[in-house]
Amino acid sequence: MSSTPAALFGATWFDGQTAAAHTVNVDVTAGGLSLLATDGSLLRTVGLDTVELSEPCARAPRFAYFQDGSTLEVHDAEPFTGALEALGLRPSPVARLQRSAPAATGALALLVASIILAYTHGVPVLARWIAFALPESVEERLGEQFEKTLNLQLLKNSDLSEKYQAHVRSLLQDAAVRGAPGIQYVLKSRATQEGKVINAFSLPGGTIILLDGLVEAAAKENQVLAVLAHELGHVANKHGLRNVLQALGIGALASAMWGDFAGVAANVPVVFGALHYSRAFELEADTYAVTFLRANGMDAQPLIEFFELMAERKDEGEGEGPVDILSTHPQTKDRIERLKRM
Amino acid sequence: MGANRKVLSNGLKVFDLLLMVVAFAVSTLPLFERVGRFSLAEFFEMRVKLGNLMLFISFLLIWHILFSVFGLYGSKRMSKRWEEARDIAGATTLGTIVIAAAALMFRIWVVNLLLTLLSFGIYSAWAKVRKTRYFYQNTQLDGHAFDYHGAPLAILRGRMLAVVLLVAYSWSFDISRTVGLVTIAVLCLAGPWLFMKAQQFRFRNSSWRGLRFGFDANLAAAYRTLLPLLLIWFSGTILGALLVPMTVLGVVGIATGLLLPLMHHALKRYQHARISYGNVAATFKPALGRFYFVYFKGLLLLFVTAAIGSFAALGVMWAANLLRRTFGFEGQGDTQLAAMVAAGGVGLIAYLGVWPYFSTRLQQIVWGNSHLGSVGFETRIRAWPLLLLVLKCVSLTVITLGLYWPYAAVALARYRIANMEVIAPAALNDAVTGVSARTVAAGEGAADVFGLDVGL
Repeated sequence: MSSTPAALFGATWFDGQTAAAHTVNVDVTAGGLSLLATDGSLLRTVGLDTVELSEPCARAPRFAYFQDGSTLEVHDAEPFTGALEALGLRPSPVARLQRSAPAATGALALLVASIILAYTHGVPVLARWIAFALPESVEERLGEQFEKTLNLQLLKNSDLSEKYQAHVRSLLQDAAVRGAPGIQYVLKSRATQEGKVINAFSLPGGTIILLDGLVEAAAKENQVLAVLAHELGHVANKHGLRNVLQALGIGALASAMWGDFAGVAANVPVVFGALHYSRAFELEADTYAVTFLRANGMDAQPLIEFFELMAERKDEGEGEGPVDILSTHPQTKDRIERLKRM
Repeated sequence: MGANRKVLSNGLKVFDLLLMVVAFAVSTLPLFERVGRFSLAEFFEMRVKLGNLMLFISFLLIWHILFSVFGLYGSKRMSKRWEEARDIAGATTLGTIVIAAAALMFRIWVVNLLLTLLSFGIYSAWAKVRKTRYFYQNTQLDGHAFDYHGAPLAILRGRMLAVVLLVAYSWSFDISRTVGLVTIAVLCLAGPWLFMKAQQFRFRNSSWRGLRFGFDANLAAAYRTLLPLLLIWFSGTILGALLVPMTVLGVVGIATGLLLPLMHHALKRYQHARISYGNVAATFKPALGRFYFVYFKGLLLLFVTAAIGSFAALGVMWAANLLRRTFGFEGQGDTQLAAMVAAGGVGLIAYLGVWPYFSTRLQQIVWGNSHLGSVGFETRIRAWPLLLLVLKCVSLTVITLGLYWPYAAVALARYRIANMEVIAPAALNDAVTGVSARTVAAGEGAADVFGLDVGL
């Protein structure tokens, strides 16, 4: 090796026992780190393999930790890092990524891409997998909790006669033998505590709640059956449980991204994200309902009729807004069009 | 001081909660009177339509304009203040603390966030260490930087324990009341130990001038101080589970609120009196009366801002209604959402308005009463500049969908540290070691997830 005078780096050495500062200069060679006193006398030389180095970090000093517990704080951090790299001592891969602007830009692009991918594919696929892997008891438990809350706050017993309720149950049961074989469900008739609501919905665990309002509003019995088939679609695909799991997934994603910033802000994507997923589930359940009806020798017509009935009521009443991008249910007209094409 | 700087992000969770609840209550009262009861029909038929979207966007726009105007003024004022403060600091004190540029923090944040996501959260422990090191190593006192030595694996273990506890806490009451009460009992019993370990981990892994800080982890003292706090904190949940009458619950709730400053003070006292640097121990002069005064004034301020915010929200709703009528979008479901958005906005106004006052005043009290040996601390942070800085940071972070956050974090830390004066740090030169490096990280992770480090 040629004996070009090596550059010296200004540093402070601490013995690890006291807070006293010792001003030194550091020489970096293949033989190790040499500590020189301000008068130029050699204090000690430490082999590079025995020294632990801190990662380079902006304009911060770099630290070298010696085996005897003493510490070297190098103030000329950037040239010091350069000298170490010339000897083949490169910072860790992560530290190198952090230092490079192109790498950070690439990481940003990858970050955005992986968040989008996780949202569109990762979370739904994972939620689906978990939903079908979880024991039934978990789903039932969840459904019971929901039902308890609903019964307490919003629902009451059905006003329909016991005989008619049994009639609807057997209607669905007979059709389910062909349309949804092997699907475990329980059909319950309920009414709302306030007003008449035209709706039916399913809970995790297979409970389907049929509200009196829907039975009264339907023009024909097979329209009720079509709606129940749609709900069975939710049950068969475990949509309720998947909804909960997906909300958890988006929550985790959002809090990884924004959790440092604000807990409340991290909840916003959960709400909007869940709405998007819920629309996809409605369409999936529509498809299921059509298959169900066809297995029973019918077509999509009863479901279309019911949706049209709902759309008419909407027009007479409050009217549905022209844009429905944030709704839990897709635009009714779009659904009707889709069903007609099937 | 380096270790106590995380204030802004972790914040006063306790106070946040109170703030939000009160603000929400105050603001929703007049709104819901108009709206009437929330029926199932409306619940199922609630759709977010164009009108609501416009309402939401107009809200965002108003905030955006407000923020950017404030932000603009803020940065001008800030730089002047900051320079002024720096000059004074240079002239009057031995120690000034400087923190470096934010560009690298952005890279650290992006790279570590990506790795955290790709590793399903496991990397978060390493990310925490890298981010903490950035802040510590770029913070200098008396010409020397702080350093952080936390071991990522230890933090990961702590986080796993914390996740288990958090899941247990959030779901136990869904399983049964007994399981829920048992979980609370476990939390009360483990809490003081975890908190103590978190403090110990944090300080023992912080160093300056090659010497570690320390935390006097006395288990008996931890339980004496923290167990009553936890019992008071959980009293509502416990009594609620035991189905005591509402009146009793109300009285207990008010009592908890009245005891909040006391609890907060006890926590700060426990924290600040047990820190050490080498053989130099910290002391904390009690200031309970001043804690109560700040809480009281903060609450008054909160009511005033919440009232103003409610009127503003009603105004916006009225305008939005007019807009909707003009464009012919009618709907009932809209009103609920509008009410919720408005209430959220009011909460935000109240939060942003009161929090800087509250936080700066408490910080002044806590640091003014803390000493490390003969070394004293003084903070020149003022509520108004801090409010402007927070507004700027929040608005830019929201507008950039979070990308501005690393810059904001650095800006906030810089403001705090630049305005922190360490009086006669040279006295620490004589400190000698008395602390061993070994410790457990379980508490550190737990403190992160639970927000246990209610810290100033």
